[in-house]
Amino acid sequence: MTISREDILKWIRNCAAVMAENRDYLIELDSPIGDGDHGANINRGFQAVLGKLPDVADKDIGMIFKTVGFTLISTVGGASGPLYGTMFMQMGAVSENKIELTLADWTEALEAGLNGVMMRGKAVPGDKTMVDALMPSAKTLKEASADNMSLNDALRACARAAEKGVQDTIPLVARKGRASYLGERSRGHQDPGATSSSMLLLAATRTWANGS
Amino acid sequence: MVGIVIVSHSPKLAAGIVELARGTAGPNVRIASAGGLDMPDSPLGTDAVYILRAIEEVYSEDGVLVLMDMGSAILSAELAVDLLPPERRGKVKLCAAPIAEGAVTAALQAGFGQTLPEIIHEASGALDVKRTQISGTDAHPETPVTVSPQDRIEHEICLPVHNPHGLHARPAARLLRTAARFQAHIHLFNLTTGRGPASTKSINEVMMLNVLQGHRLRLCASGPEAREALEALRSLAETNFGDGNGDGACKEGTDRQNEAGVIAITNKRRSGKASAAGATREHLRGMPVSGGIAIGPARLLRVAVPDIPSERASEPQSEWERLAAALEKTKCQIEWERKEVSSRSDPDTAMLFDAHLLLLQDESLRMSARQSIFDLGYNGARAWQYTIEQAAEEYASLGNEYLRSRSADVGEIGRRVLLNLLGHAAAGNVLQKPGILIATDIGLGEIAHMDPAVVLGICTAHGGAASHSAILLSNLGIPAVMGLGGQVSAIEEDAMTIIDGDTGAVIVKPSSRVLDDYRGRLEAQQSACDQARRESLALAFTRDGRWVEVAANIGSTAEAKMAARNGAEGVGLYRTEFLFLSRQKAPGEEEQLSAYRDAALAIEKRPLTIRTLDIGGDKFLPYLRLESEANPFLGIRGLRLSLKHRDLFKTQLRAVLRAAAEFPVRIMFPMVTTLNEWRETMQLLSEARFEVEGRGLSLPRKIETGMMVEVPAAALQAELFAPVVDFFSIGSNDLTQYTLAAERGNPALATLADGLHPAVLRLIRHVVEAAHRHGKWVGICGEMAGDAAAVPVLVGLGIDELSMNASKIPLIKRCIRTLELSSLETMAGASLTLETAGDVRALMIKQQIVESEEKKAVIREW
Repeated sequence: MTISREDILKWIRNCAAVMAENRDYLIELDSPIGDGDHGANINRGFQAVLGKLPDVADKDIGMIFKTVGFTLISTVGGASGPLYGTMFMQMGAVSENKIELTLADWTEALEAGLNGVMMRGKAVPGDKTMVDALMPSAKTLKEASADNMSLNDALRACARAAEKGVQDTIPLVARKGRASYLGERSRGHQDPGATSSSMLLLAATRTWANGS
Repeated sequence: MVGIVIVSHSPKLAAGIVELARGTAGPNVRIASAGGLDMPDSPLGTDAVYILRAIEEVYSEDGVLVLMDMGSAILSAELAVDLLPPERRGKVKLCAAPIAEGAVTAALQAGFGQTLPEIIHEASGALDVKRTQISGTDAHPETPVTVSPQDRIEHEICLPVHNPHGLHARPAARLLRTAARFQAHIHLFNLTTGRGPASTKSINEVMMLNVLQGHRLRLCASGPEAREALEALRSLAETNFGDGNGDGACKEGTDRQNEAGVIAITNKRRSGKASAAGATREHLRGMPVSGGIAIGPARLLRVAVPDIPSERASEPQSEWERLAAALEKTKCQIEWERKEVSSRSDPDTAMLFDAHLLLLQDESLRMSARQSIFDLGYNGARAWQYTIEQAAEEYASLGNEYLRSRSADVGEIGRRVLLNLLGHAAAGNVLQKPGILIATDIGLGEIAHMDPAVVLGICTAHGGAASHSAILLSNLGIPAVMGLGGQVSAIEEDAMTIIDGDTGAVIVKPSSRVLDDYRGRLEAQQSACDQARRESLALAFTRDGRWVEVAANIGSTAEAKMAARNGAEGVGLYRTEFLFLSRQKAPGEEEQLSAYRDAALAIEKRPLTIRTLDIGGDKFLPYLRLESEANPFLGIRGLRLSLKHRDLFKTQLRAVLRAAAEFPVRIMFPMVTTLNEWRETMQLLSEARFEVEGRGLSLPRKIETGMMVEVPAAALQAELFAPVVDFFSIGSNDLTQYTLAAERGNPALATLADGLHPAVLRLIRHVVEAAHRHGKWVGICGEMAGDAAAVPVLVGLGIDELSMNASKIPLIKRCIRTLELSSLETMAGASLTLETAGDVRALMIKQQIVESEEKKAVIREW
């Protein structure tokens, strides 16, 4: 069982749909602790991505990811632009010349993306950022991959880890980004960046883990 | 020209800032904006690709400065840098300066052609100017100037700084020195950047003002002499703080001229050839320390600092005292070097030492080290290391190249203090490939391990002719020029380098003509050496048949080998200090024994005279806690010190005794002054014998036991010592300085501190007569023994053994072979009645002791 190029394209389109659907929800999450623009920014970025996809539909997965990354960089506008942009570009760098991904490939891609985000944002787990959703997800995927778990099971475990990671951001005090200006007052709020990250991973599970 | 990129969420703001900057700095500035997103409905935001394009637009090899607003602007800018080709990434710097003030400042500075780091620094300080303007003159209310009530009245002046490199090390040092002449409390502010106050008591604080060309200084003085101090500083500022007009260029020209002069004289003296100095090459000048010519590629060396111990300070007070003592010692060394250099080199070179001295006395460094000891529980070495690292980092982070180079000065001072605190790190082979060693400083430990076949010559920034390193080097026959100051930093690895240890000339990357000239001289020098060395293997008799024993002074096994090669008939002085220096604890009995064995083997089992530890005076050991003395040369040194540290002393005595069981080893004791000391020493020697015997080890039946005569009192009482010693060895260096109360290293007393002074000769004569009456022999192991001009007198006075630097042996043997004892005795007798050393030297020429032209040539040639 592998992830085909068509699966990747479908996932990205689903991501765009999820971001559109959750635009206001993300704004709502971002308003008390951020600039309140996360939903609008990320949605704008993914809508722009939708426009670019037809051009790369016949390219390898690496190229598709890189195009997503570049598009996000130029269209999101807020901090999530360079962060998600870097994530996709790093995912693209390890997926060059591939037209399908095994569980191990996907794990590697997500890990590379996570590392890119951490490098760019200089955040570590517990800083109340995207990393708090991405890190446990990548870790879970890696373990699942090592245990020879099926792709379906692995994706589900990954999604659960992402959701849990998001919930775990609620009691945290933000140490990076705009929310960190609030200090203690950031406690008790769910992090919008972690939320959008988990949405991407949930979308992957829903797109690829058939029968869920 | 450095390019500038303005990143903002708002395209209008970015464009507006570009407009503002161009308006101030002119249309030629390379500046581009990258504001907003390329999306019509949502213009606010940042786009890394857009920023990337802007960077590419203004990019040049001079670099690009990126100024941005906040949030995603920073991330996008960083991402844009990552998107650049790898070779360009390092040339693009993000700057945290406020975007509007920073952009205007940066554009102005870029227009002046400043470098990227300078512009970053300038832009970063841009807000300070505004802060100063808004809050009045008090730029840093959080660090107020402390003014005591009695000197409330302040005087102040403002001065522009025109120096091309701002208030860099040398002018800053001059400013501090001038300020120090007055009692006033003086504080400086850099009006241009708003930095300050900086006390004129701290070079660190003054350098932190980062005063660049065009900056204005405010000087506030209070207390007594405030007005006078400011007047003096104003006059100093009028000379560009002593830099004159056009710092550097013209001075260099003068140096070269002088250098050409030196070479011309040398050539004339040596071979009559015309000067071949190429005026376009790099000629440096230092102090000639160890003679001869060396030619080879430069090898840069940094002396390793010993490992910093990690133990916590159990007694902070004593840790601090040790550190303070090391600081004081370093200060004395540098002061001495400064004196040496300024008497032989241009005063500007000596100024480099001033900057180092000021750093050493810097209260802020001292306080920080003290705090690390008392508050953090660091040991002295670690506290100092920590303090220095922090200070060096602060300097390194500054914008101006000159200020950054101060970081090296701080590191250098730090290193020297650590070396004084811990001793030199164990030295390995300093060079892998043959070449000229270029170093800031060379320790005895390193030199003792040098192989003259690999270390062809040495250039150092510090050090001077009379340092112990110098003696050792000339012993090894390694040409050396020291005291070159900052000039050494200009020498590049592998650059072909000529050093002339006779004139102090160092020529880097010589022209082929100069190189050929020096190669010729080097060959002549080598062939003369080779011939002298061949002849030197035979014993040296005067023409009327008197044998004068010629021995070597050594401090290491390497020198012992050299001595044997040069025809030494034995070792008249083995300085054991070198075993004890350069380490954290004293060498044990076995280690000493093995060193003594090695030396005995290296000198091919000829007599080896081991002098026991001669510490004190200017040498000290980190593991011996010595009371600090007001005048160490008249304090606990030599035998006096050994008698106070009996365990250390007896360990050495046992090792020497055991070596004497296997080899012809003699023992002698330094700085003997009274008979009681001698008796005590003999008591310890017999105890040591007993202890060795107790362990069932073999002992020599008898060991020849001698005393050094360095103290005039001992010379005058030679009659009392003669029955109890086996031999005398005259340490003429110390005997001369104690007799004439003139320090040998003091250039002002150079003519006075001459061993040929009749007063010294009388003491020598007295010792020889007393010794010979009791059938004992007398050697001499000071520098006089290797001085061809002094040898006739010494032989005439009846000296039995001359012990000298190994490299001098061939010459001295040749000299002895030309002498005629009968006339020497008359001449020596006459010299005792003369008035000065100069008279003695004149007498020798007048009496035609050196009769034939050939003999004159021998003496002059060497």
